[in-house]
Amino acid sequence: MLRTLRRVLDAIYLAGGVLGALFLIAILGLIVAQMIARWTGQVFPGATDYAGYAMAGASFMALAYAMNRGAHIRVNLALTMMGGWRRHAEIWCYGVGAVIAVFFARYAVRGTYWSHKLKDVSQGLDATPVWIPQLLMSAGACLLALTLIDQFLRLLLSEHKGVEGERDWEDAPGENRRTRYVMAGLFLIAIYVPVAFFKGFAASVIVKTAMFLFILFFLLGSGVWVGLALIGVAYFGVTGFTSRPAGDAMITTIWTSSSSWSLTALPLFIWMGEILFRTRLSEDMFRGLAPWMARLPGGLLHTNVVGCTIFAAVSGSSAATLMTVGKMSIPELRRRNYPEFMTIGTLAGAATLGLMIPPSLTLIVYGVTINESITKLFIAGIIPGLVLATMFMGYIAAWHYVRPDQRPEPEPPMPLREKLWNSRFLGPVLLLVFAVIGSMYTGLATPTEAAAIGVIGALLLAAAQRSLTWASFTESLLGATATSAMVAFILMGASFLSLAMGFTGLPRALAEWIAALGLPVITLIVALTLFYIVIGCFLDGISAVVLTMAVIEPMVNIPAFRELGFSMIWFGIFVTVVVEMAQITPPIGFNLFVLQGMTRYQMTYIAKTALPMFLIMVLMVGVLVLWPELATWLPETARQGPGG
Amino acid sequence: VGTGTDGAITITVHSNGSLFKGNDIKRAVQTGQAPIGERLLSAHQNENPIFGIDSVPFLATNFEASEKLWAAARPTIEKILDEQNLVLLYAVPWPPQGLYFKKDVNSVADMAGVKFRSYNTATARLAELTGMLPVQIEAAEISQAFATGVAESMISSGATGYDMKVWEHLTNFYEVDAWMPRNSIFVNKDVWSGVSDAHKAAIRGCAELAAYAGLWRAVNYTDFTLKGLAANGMKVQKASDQLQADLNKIGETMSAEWTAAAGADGKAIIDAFKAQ
Ligand code: NA
Ligand code: NA
Repeated sequence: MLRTLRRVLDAIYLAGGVLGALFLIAILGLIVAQMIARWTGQVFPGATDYAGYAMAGASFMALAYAMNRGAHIRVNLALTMMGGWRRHAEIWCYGVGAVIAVFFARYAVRGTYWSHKLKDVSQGLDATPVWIPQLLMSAGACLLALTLIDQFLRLLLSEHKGVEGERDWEDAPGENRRTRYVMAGLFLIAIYVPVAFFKGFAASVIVKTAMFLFILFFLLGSGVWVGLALIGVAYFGVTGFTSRPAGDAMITTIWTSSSSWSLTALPLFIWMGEILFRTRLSEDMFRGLAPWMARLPGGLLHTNVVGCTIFAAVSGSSAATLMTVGKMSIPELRRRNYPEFMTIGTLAGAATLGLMIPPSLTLIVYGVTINESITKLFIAGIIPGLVLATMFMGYIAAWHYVRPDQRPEPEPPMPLREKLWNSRFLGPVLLLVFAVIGSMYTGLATPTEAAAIGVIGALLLAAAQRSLTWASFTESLLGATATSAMVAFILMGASFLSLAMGFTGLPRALAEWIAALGLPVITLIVALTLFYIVIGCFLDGISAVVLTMAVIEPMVNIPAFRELGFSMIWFGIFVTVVVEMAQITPPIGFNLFVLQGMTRYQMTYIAKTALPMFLIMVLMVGVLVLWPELATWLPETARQGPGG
Repeated sequence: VGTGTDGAITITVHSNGSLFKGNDIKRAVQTGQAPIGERLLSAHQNENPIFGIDSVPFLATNFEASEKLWAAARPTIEKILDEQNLVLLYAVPWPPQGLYFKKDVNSVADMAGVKFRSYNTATARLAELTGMLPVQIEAAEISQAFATGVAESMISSGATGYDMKVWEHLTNFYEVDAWMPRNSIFVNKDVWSGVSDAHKAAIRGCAELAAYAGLWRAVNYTDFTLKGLAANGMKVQKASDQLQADLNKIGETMSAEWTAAAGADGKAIIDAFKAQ
């Protein structure tokens, strides 16, 4: 009986994931159809709106599936320190998570019902009754609530340890059922009290703000998944500071932000990275690059930086860049006796270029959050990305001269003809780079369309290499669906939080206060850099961006900044550098985790190897402040490009 | 408003979609998520064609006609909004909509094949009737789209073009004054019924004042932005006789289509407007 129920539930979650994946394919189909229509002078009315609904479908339907795959991210620092009490901490996380998810699901259903009742119709060319695509939101939110309740009960009643990838812990010897029930009861009271207390709660703004911030840090810090934690804290923001209906406002905002067409570039670029990771691309890149790098001061270590730079131009994420390049370069460099410290460190640092050199998930999220052109942001990232790569290579060359004792045996020389012949391995990836960046730069395609071109290019490349099998295709598709559902969920939570912030009036007050201080712009930038370094230690890049932009934007989107060349485009590049740093700072740094998995080194050691790269990025912030044109010049010239 | 109600009611402005996004404002006020909001009602013409009355091309092509059209339409729109739990306070016309191009256009025939940014059914239909190619562009990507040739034309106000620094990519602005969209300010009905009569009167007073000031500002700002476009090297001009005649014909088609879609209420509005 129970076993049947288990199988049915798991099948439902998987079905949600598969449906999400089908919507991801639908996005690709719609974008390609629209692109072809435009090129051939045809019209496909409403294509972008349908792509937006498919985006919502892909995100919502896969929420539960992503949860069960362990794809949703959270700050698990405190959790890992719980030792034998981990189960109780997990009961808290799943308990709070379930409560928030039920709240979310309840209002998703209610919002859909009201859309139907109010006869709400899309304002675009499609004129679809809004409730129809919103059914996907309702279904997905209900599935998420179901899976969290499911996990909560299993943690409470069995020896189950939560979702995949989070099971590396053991219960304390004395652990028993009774303590679990008592804890669960206490937790539910701990959730109920503030919820009841915060409604119509009269206190000074300072007290409310302090409580708001406390709840924010407590939810995030205790290991609640970022998307859910943001929804939870935003709920308190709305109920604490206004008499507005929090749940309805939440769904209005979340639906709009999650069915956005500009967001569709995100899953496509993620998918492209997933496909390329499963091809022979990394081997080919190493073979093509190595002959050219071998004679440089620092030798084959440069393949790390140059390989990451090239792969960054087809991948939007730092982790994907790291895995793809590292898969080949770590064993090859080891075999040639390069010092581990340099191999690991340069790889950890250079992989962060994945975020700076377009395409970039960070810049998509930033652009969507503050409503800035993603094309411009992408183009703005090119020069700073190359400058940063050059600085990384400078570090490798410096090592070569400072530590001659560590140099490995030099590579045997290779005749030029052979070098050139070996370069043919770089052909496919360079072709892909030109297709993706070139199509955007010349205006042949918008970022979303460039992403679609990238996916198709990656599939063709995989097919040509015979690494495109049914298994690798479905793996890449489901992996991309789960990851993009994770990012989309954080964006949903962030959009609600930013609405709550708007209701509280805190960002505006803070911006006015800072403006009144009359600090020099440079001081403010230094302060912001320090601020982002600190939160970057604990939060992943995307969460850090979405969480802070509601507060930071009014502070920096002012004439005093623009006059010095620090436009919002520039600020996007600045944010990207600090987010890059966050990838390699402990205790929470994505690249550190990935490298830990790949090399089995302690995280502290990996962080130490990456420290010089971190310092180079700090230097890069200085370079950007001194020469803001590095970021702003290229988008300006592109603007006056082919259009005249 | 704060002064008129002795501080009992104050309005905090969250501008530029900093609270709810434009698309969501009507829904948010309807369901009490926000007490009061401002929105171009014509954006909601998929829901009810009557909302699109202020955006029927070449129906009311100056501020005076726009006021008359609004006077004719207001009772019907108030009634529709009332059914949607909304109380209309006032509506301010936006600057008139003109055509932007990157070449000289002297007749509708010159527009054939031009990539035209259309953002709703009405602008897509306009593209269709003029032989242009409707393209959909996210608001944030518009100037990039013009720069790279993804789009080559749009219909918008001088003010929008001025704010976008559209002269960096486009060369011609035709003051065809196709329509003057109206920004409507509405209150949630439940909130409104909780307001005392004295305060209602004070708010209505403010609304009238604001509507008048808004109209005056729209007129002046139009003048300012058109001069600005010209000062930055754009050719700002009236449509040639041929172009205007072509466009008027398209306007008649679209008026007829609108009336057919909007039914008896719509016909009544048009008749009342034409009778003035
Ligand atoms: Na990238
Ligand atoms: Na970090």
